[in-house]
Amino acid sequence: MRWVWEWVRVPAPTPPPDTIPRGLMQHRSARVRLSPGRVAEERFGWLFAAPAILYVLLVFVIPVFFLVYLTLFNWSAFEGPGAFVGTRVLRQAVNDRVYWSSLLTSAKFVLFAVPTTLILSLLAATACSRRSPLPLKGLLRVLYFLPVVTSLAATAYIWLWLFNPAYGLFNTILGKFGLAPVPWLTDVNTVLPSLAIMFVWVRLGFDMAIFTAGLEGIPEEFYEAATIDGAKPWQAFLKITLPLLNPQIVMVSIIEVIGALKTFDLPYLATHGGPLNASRTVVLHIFDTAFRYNELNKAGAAALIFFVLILVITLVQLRLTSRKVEY
Amino acid sequence: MSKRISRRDFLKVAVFVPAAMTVPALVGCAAPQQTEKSSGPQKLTLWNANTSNTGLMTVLKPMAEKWAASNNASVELTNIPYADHETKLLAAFSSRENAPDVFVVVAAYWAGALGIADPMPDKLAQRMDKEIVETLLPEYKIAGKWYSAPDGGTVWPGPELVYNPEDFQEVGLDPAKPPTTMSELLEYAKKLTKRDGSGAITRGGFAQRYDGALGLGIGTKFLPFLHSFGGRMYDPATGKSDGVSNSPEAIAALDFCTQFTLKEKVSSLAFGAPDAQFGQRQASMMFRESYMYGWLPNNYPKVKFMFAPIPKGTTDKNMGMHGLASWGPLVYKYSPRRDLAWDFLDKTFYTTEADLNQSMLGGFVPAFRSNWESKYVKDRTDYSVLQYSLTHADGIVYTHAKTNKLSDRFSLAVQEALLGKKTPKDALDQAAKDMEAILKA
Repeated sequence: MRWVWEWVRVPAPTPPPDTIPRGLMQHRSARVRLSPGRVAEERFGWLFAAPAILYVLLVFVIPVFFLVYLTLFNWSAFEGPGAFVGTRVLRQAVNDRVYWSSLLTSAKFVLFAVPTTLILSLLAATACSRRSPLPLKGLLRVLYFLPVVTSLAATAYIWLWLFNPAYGLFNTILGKFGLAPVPWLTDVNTVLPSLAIMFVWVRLGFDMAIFTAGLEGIPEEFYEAATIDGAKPWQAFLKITLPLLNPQIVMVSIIEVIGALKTFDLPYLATHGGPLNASRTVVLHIFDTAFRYNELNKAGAAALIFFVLILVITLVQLRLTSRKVEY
Repeated sequence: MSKRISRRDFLKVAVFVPAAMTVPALVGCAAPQQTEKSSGPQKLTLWNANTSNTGLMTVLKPMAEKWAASNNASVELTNIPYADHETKLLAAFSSRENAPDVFVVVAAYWAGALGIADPMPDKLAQRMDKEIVETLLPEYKIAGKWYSAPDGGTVWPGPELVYNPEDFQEVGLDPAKPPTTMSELLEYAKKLTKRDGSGAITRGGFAQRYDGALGLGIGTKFLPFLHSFGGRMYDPATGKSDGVSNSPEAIAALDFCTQFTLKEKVSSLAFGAPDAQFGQRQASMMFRESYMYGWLPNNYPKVKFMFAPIPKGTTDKNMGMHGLASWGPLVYKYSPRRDLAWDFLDKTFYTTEADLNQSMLGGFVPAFRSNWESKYVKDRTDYSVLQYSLTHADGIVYTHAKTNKLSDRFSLAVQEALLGKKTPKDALDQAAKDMEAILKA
C-alpha cells in the first residue's frame, strides 16, 4: 500500500498567486491555500468514496450511456450491434401505441397502489408508535415488516392462490356470505386493484418502518403543549405529526411512486400483463420487447424514455411536496 | 474538512469516466466469440427448458454419464424454468461466454426464426430422414436442413379432444360417441354444462382458454378451431397477415368460439386454465395435446378421461404440428464444441431407447418410427386418435422471426372476442393490421 501513501502524501504544486487570473482566485486559491495535510485528507476522501462512485458508474451511469448506444444501432442479442440507424428506433418507440398504453397502465397502478400504501403505512406506524396505547407493538412491527423480507415470487404465488376464482380463500369467504365470486385477476376492471392489494401488502412494512423512525424523532413536548392547549388527538396528528413528518412522507412517496411505476414482478408472475393487456405495465412491456421479441434497441429506447419520465416526475414531486422542517 | 469538489470537476468525472469505461465495454460487446479454453477434459453444457417433459433428465443423466466416460468429457445437465427460458437464453447468447452448447427449446422458432442453431451433420441428418416420423419433418427440417429432432417430450401430433366419460353418462351421452363436428361439440357442451341457482356455471361443458401466462397459450389453444375452419394465424409462405388473420374462415372460427363464452355460456370465464378446470371437474371437455395421457393421471388421479379427434369444422384437417411447441435439442452455432455436442446427441438423445423411455415417463408420444410399433404406443387409449391426427395434419408451421410478437397480438384479438370486448371481425381486422406492420418491420 506504499504507493497509496505516496500518492496521498505529495501536495499539489503551488503556482505563484499572481499567475492565477483574478476570476479563478476564489476557486483555485482554495486548493492553493490547502496545507499538505489537508490535501492528503482530501485524497483520502476520494479513496473512501471511490467504491461508491465506481458502483454508481458501473450500475447506473454506464448503463444509461449503453442504452443510448443501443438505440442508435440495429441490435440482435445473438449477433451484437448491426447497422447505424440514428434516431429511427427512438422515434418508433415514441410512436408505439402499446408502449403508451402500458405507461398509462403503470400510471393507473400508481394511483391505486401508492396513496393506499402511504395512508395505511402511516396509520400502522401511528398505531405502533410510542404514543399508541396498543399492546405488543414490537410484535406488530415485526409482523408488518415480514412481507418486506419475503421473496416476491413466493408472495405472488400465495396471492395467486388467495385470488384463485374457483378455490381461492377470498371467493370462498365471499361465498360463505352469499356473495358472488370476484374475478380478481381475470377481469380487466379488477386486475389492477388486485395487483395493487398485493403491492400494498408487500410495501406496507418498509414504509411503516420509515414513518416509525420519523414519529420517534418528533419531540414529546409538542404533543404535551398541544394537549395543554386543548388539542384533540386528531388535531395533534394534523397540526403536529403530519407537518413534522413531511421529510419522511416526501421520501416514502417518491420511493413508492418510482417503485410502483417500475412494477414488473407482480404482473409478470401473476398475470403476465393480462387479461387484454390490462395489467401490462411499462416495465413488463420493455421486458417482453427485449427478451421475448428480441428487439433490444427498441426496448432500450423505451427504457430511456421511461427513465426521463421518472426523472421529471421525481423532480416535480420533490418541488411540490418538500417543506423545510426543523425541530 | 471544508474543501469540496467543484461543479466543473464533478461534471468532468461524471461525463468522461463513464464514457471512457463504456467504450471498452462496447468493443467487448461488439466482438464476442466463444473460444476453447483448455486442452483437458471438455465440458458440455445442456440447458433444458422443456420442464414439462419430466422424464428427460431421468433418462438422459445415466446416458450422459456413460457417454462422458468414454469421451474424456463431462456433461452438465440443467433444467431452466419454462417461464424464463427466453430471457435466460438471450442473456447467455448475448454474452456467448456462458452460452450452453446444447439447449432444448421450441426448435422451429429458435432454429428457423432466430437462426441461432447449428445444422445437423449430414450423417446424422440421413439417419433422421430414415428414423423420424414423417409428419414431424416440417418442424425440424427447416429450409431442407435438419436442425433438431423431437426430444421425446414434444407435444405432438397436435391437440386432441379430451372428455370425461362420467360426465357424459351423467347427462345421458354415450362416451363411446364423442362429438365429431364442431356443431356437435357445442351441442354436447350445452348438455354437459351445470349451473347453480343464480345461473352461474359450476361445471363448464367445454373449457376455453381465455387467459394464461403468455399470449402464446391463448393463441395456440384457438388454433384447432381456426385450422378446422380453414383459417390461418398468418401465412408463413408469403409473410402476409392482412386478409389471412382476418379471413372469413378465421372470423367464422372465432365467432364459433364466442358462442361458448358469450351466447350459450357453456365455458366459464371465472375458472382457470383448461387442464386445471378439467382436472378439478369444472369442465367436461377440452382440447389438449396427447401428453394428457400421462399428465392427467399424475396430477388428477381420480379423474376419468377419454380421447377423440378434434371435431371437424368446415374441413377435416387437424391443426397437427404448428411450430409453436416443437421441442427439441439444438446445438449453439457459435459453440466451440459443436462436433462434440452432435456426437453427444447422436449417442444419447437421438436413440430409440431415449425417445421411448422419455415418452413413457411423461405420457408423451415418441418420434422414432420404430417406437410407434412399441407396445407402449399401441396400448395407449388414444392410439386410434394419434393415427387419425397423423393422417389429417395440415402441416402448417409458423416460424417467422417475430412469431412471439405475432402470436401475442393474435391472441389479444382472440381474448377480446371471447370476453365480448370486440366482435370477432373487429378484433381480427385490427389484429391483421397490426400483425402486417410487425411482419413488415
